[in-house]
Amino acid sequence: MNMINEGFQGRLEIGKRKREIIPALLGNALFSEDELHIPLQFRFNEELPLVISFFEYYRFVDRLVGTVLREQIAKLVLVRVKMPAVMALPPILLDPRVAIFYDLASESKELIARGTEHLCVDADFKLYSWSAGDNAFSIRWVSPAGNRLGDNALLKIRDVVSTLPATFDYFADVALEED
Amino acid sequence: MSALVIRCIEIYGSAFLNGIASDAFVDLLAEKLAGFVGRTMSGQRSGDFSHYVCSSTFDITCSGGWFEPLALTRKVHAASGLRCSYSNAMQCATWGFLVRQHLANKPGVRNILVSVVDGNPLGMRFWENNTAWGKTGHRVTLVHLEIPERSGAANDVPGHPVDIIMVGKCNPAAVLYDYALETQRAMARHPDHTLAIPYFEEKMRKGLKRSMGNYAYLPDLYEEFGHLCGSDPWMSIARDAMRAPVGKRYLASSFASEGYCCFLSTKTDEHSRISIEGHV
Repeated sequence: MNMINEGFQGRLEIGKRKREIIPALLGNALFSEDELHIPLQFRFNEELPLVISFFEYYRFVDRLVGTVLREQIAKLVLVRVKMPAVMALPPILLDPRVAIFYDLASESKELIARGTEHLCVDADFKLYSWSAGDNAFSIRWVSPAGNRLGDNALLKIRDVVSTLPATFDYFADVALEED
Repeated sequence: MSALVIRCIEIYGSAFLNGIASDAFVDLLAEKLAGFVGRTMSGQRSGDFSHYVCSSTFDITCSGGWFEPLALTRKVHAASGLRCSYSNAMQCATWGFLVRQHLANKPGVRNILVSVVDGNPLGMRFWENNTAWGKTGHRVTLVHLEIPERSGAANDVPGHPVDIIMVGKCNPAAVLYDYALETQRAMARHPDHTLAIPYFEEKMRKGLKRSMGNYAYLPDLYEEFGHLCGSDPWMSIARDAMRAPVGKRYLASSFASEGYCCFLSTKTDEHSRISIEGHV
């Protein structure tokens, strides 16, 4: 039986933003004014726009993971989270059926090796000015046993992904990048 | 109800990670972690081990692209033969969330390696001293925990993960009060354990001490080290285990500025190996 990899992948687009008032959540600056030479050593794409805020990203993750668990689409969800953040994670991410990592590929491979089905919520969004994110995302269902997501499950996931200001496509059977 | 067995705690200072270029930083840290994995596995099957790396202080250095955690975990994998994953999501309590997901998703993998890595490679003032919790110290703490075998004896049967690891989220507006309540709840389940909680300035510790009065707890080493992020409970346990009787049970706890907290039931046995760099 072939392993199944399917889901949605795409990229945030600044032109797809709809007008909406959201909390500013400025957070605490980690750097003092005389320490700004430090972030100058960071490697980030200055031309890449900030399309969404922490508030919007966490709202998206909350909706997506909430839907996946409530609808029993997956028993285990891996979510990419990068710190620092200006607000706490949505409580749904503390659910025992959720595991959080900085990169998901390694843990996903560990689970595949043990035959464990899971969903990867892998978004590398630029959420603050010095962030190295690339604004791309993939929502990937991984089934070592070869089970596909049903049409209804795909539809539910698509509905949540559609709330992002983004272009995205369905994909299937994309091989995982090798270590 | 059972505890994870402490096979080994190794604690190192992290000054070797400071003031160097990011490539050298990744190389040195990977070497340290791979060395630990190698010593720990020494000929045993890699399928019986999982390795997790976590940090509080390496946050904006990663997300700002100064160093890439994937480069670190790949190097550790290449050098040790064991895959590893990195997380900093739950700040100082990340190690507890990693243990919880391990017990839930890979309970058959009996050896859990947790590397709690902190340093200040870019010399940020925030990570030396800040108004939230005071002084910060940094350590590279390497912990090997083992899920005990089912022996048939009632006291040694591994319990449900919730008996071994508890995690929570305190309200940031009343974080110390909430954490004190969580601590009491956790200790009520494990009254035979000794509590190891994070190091804080005296003014923060005062209220916590009052709420821990009914339980055994290890001393706060803030004056000696500052707050050591996720390494605090491991430093306390390592210090105590060097002179305590074999088989002592500890409730290792961390909690984070966003309110995440964790409590892990652990115990030593006659094979537990403890080392603290610079400690005689």
